[in-house]
Amino acid sequence: MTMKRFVLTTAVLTILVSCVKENLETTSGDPDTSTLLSEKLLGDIREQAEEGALLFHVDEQTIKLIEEGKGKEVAEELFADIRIKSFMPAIPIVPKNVEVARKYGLHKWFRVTFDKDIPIKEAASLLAGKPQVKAIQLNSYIDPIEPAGIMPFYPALMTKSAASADLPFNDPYLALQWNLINDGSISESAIAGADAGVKDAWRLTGGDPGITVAVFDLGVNYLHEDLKNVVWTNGNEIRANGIDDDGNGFVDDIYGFNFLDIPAITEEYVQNRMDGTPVEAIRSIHTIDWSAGSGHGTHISGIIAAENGNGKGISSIAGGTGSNDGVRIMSCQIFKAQDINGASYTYKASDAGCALAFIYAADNGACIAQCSYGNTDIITDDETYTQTSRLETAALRYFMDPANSNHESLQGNMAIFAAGNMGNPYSIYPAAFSDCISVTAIGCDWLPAGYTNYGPGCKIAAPGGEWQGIYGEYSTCILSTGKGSQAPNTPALNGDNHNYVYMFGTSMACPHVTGVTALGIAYAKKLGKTFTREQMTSMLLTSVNDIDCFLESGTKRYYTTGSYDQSGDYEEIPLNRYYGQMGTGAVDAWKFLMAIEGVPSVQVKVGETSEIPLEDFCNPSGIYEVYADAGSKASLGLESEPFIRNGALVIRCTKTGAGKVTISSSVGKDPGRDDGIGGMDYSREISIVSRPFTATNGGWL
Amino acid sequence: MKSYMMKNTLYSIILIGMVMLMSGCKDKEDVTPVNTAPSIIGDWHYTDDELQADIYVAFNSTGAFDLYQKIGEGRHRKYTGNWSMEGNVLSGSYSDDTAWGSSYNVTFDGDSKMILTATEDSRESYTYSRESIPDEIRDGSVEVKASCDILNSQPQYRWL
Repeated sequence: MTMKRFVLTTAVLTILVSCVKENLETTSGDPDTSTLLSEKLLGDIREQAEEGALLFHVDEQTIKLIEEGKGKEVAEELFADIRIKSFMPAIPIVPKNVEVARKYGLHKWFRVTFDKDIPIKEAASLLAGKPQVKAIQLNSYIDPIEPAGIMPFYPALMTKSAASADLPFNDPYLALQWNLINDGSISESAIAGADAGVKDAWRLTGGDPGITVAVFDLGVNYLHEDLKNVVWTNGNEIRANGIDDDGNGFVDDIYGFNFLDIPAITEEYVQNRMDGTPVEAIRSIHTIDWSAGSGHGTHISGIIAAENGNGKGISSIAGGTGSNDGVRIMSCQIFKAQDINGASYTYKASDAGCALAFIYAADNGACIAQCSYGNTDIITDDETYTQTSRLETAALRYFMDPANSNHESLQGNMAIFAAGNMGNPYSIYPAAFSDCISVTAIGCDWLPAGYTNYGPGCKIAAPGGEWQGIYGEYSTCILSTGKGSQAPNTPALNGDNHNYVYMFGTSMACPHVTGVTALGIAYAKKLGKTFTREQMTSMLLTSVNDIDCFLESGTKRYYTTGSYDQSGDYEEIPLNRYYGQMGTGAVDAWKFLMAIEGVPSVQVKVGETSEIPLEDFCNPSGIYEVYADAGSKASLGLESEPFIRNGALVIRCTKTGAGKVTISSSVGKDPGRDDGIGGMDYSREISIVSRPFTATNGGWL
Repeated sequence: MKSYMMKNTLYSIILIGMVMLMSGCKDKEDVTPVNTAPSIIGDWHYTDDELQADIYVAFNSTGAFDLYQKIGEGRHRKYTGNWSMEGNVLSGSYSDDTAWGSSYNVTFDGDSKMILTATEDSRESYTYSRESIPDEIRDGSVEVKASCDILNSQPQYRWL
C-alpha cells in the first residue's frame, strides 16, 4: 500500500457512505452493551461536547479493509443500526507524514455525524457493540482562556514609562512595556528587572523568519500595522480560488486556517464528495476571522512577534532587530467569537478541531504551538486527560515528534500553554500534560498574579500583568496589539481604537515564554547548534530567575473590583501558597541564550570542598539529583558523590582536571499522588575545572 | 593541563630564563625591577586545550588589568582589577576585592613570551604570548558581577 493510496482510500470513505438504515434501535440498556460502552468510552457522557457526532478508533483489521477499498462494506457493518450523516477520517493525513501519523494511531481515528436527535449515549452504545471499534470519544469542547481583563489604551495619556531611556527600538510604546524592559518606574510596586530579560538578548538575536509560531486562538489580525509583515503566508496557495493548490489537505489556507465548526466543514467536505466533486482537501466554511470578540489571538501574536523597529506601536520579544527579521505567526483559529449588542462571546473549540490544528501546524512548518486555551474541567492526572482527549493527545504527540521537526535547530516541535486564570492550585490541561510547558503569570513585582493557577502541572512563570484596581490606570497590565479599528461592531472600550489594548492573564504570560523560546531557537541557528526538544526545554526551564525568595511570607493584595482610588474589593493573598508552585522560576531570555551559547566551566580548588552557587544554572530552590559519569569522576578525582546543599553544588575534587556534573529535577509533579499530574523532568550540565588554586570569584588569575 | 613533557620544557625555559636573569643581574643589578615591570605592560594570551581555556589579559601601566576568560563553553567573561609587582612576583586582586588565586613568579622569553609560575604551586606554569585582544572579544564579553541579586537588578553576566 503506497502512502498516496492510503490517503485516498481513507478519504474515499465519505463517498461510499451514504448508508444507512432508518430505525435506530435503542440498545444502550442492554447489559452487554452497557459493559462494552463503559469499556470503550473514553471519559464520561457529558454536555460539554458536540451533539450529533462521535470520534472513534478502529482496529487494525478494519483499517486494512478500508485500505483494500472495502470501505463501503466496513461502513455498512459499523452503521447498520444508525442513520448517519457522514463518516470520514478524523484527521486528513498528508502523504509525507503517513508514517508518523501511523505511529500515533491517527489513521485509525474516524468521525461520524448523525442526527442531533439521537442521544449521544445511544449512538455510542451502538458503536461500542461493534468489535471493530476499540475506543469512542466524545468531541469534547475546550474553553478559551479568556483574558482576566481587557483594558483600553490611550496613547495621549502616556504619563508613565517602564523604561524611558536607552531603548533599542523606535517603537513609540516600548517605553510602556515593562514586561520587556522594567526599570521599576511603571508603578509603586514595580521592581526593576521583573521582566522577560530581552533587552540584552536582543543584542544577540531578535528572532528568525524561519521560525513559525502557530497561534491556537481566535483569529489573528493579519492586516494590523504591527503584524502584517510578520504573518506567516502560505506562498503555495492561491487566495480564495477554492482549490487546495499546494496539496496540503486544506483549501485556501493563506495565513493559517479556521478550524471552527467541524461539522460544517465535514458536511461540505462530504457533500463535495457525494456530488462527485474531485476535492481532496478540507474546505473551511469560514475564513480566519479576527474582527469579532476580544482580539485575544491578535494580542498574543503582538507579544511574540509585533514588528520591532518599524516606528509603530509596540515592540515584541521575537519581532526582529529592525529589519523585519522576526519570527512569523501562523493563525490556527480554533475559537469563534461573536459580538452581540456590544458584548463579546467566545465559543468553545473542540477536541477534533484542536487535533486538526496540531496536525496542520506540524505539516505546514510551525515549530512552536502557542496555546492560551485549556480544558476547564477538573482534571488532575495525565491518565484522565489522555483517556478523555485521546485524539488531541495523539495529535499533540504528532506535533512534537522529531520526525516532524520544522526548524533546523530544534529536533521536534514545542507546545506551550497557559496555566489558567482560575486561581486554582493546579494547572489546567493540556498545559499540565507532561510534555507541555504550562506557564503561570507574575506581575511587574515578580509576585504571582492573583488570578494565576499554580501548583502541579505548572512549569515556568512569565509576566502576565495584573490590574491594580484603579479605573483608567492599566499600565501594570500587558500592552499589545488589539484587533484593530477596522474591526466591525467592536465592543465599546470608551472609544479606544483597539489597535493597541491592555490585557492580563496567563494567556499573556504564555506568549512571553513562546517568544523567548523562539529567540532561543533563532540563536541556536545563528550558532549552528541543534538541540532536541527535551534539551531546549531543560535549558528554558533552568534559565530562570528565582521568585521563590519572594514567596516565603507576606501577602499580596489582589483587586477584584475597581475604583478611582483603590477602594474597591480586594483579597489579601498569602504568598507562601505559591512557594515552589509557580514552576522553576521566571523566564529570562538572556539566561536562556547564554545557556544555548554554552555555559563556561566553574573552577574549583583541588583538595577542597567547594560549594558552587546554582543561580547561574537553574533555580537553586529546586530539589535536584546530581550525577557525574565515570569519565568525569576519574578526570576530577571525585572520591565522593557531589550533592546539593543550600542551593549550591557541593563537590570535592582531588586532582587537576575537567569533567561534567549533571543536575536534574522535575517540575510540576503532584507530590501527593503517584498517579496524579506527572510533571516534567529536566536537567542541566555543569562543567567543572579543578585547579590547584583558583580565585573565589572564578577568575583565572 | 599540560603534559609532563610540556612541563619539562617549561621548566627548562624557566631555568634558562632564570639563568639569563641572574646573568643579567650581574651586569644591571640596580635596574632589574624597573626593566621587569614595564615589560609586563600590554596584552597577553594563554590557551589550554585540555581545560578549554582561552585567556586574554591586559596589564596596563596604571596598575589596572582587564581579564577576558573563557573556560569551557560560552563567551568570554570580563574581570577587572589591579596588579602590582614586587621583584619578579606578580600579585593582584579583582575589583570585587577578591584576591587572585595565586601570585606568580614572572619570567620572560624575549619580549613576546611571559611565563607565570604560581607561587602557590610551582608545578603550575603558564606561558602567555604577547597578542592584542581581539575587538570581538573586548566588545562581545560580558562582565562578571559580584553576585546574583534580582532585587537590585544586577544578575550575573550582563552586557557591559
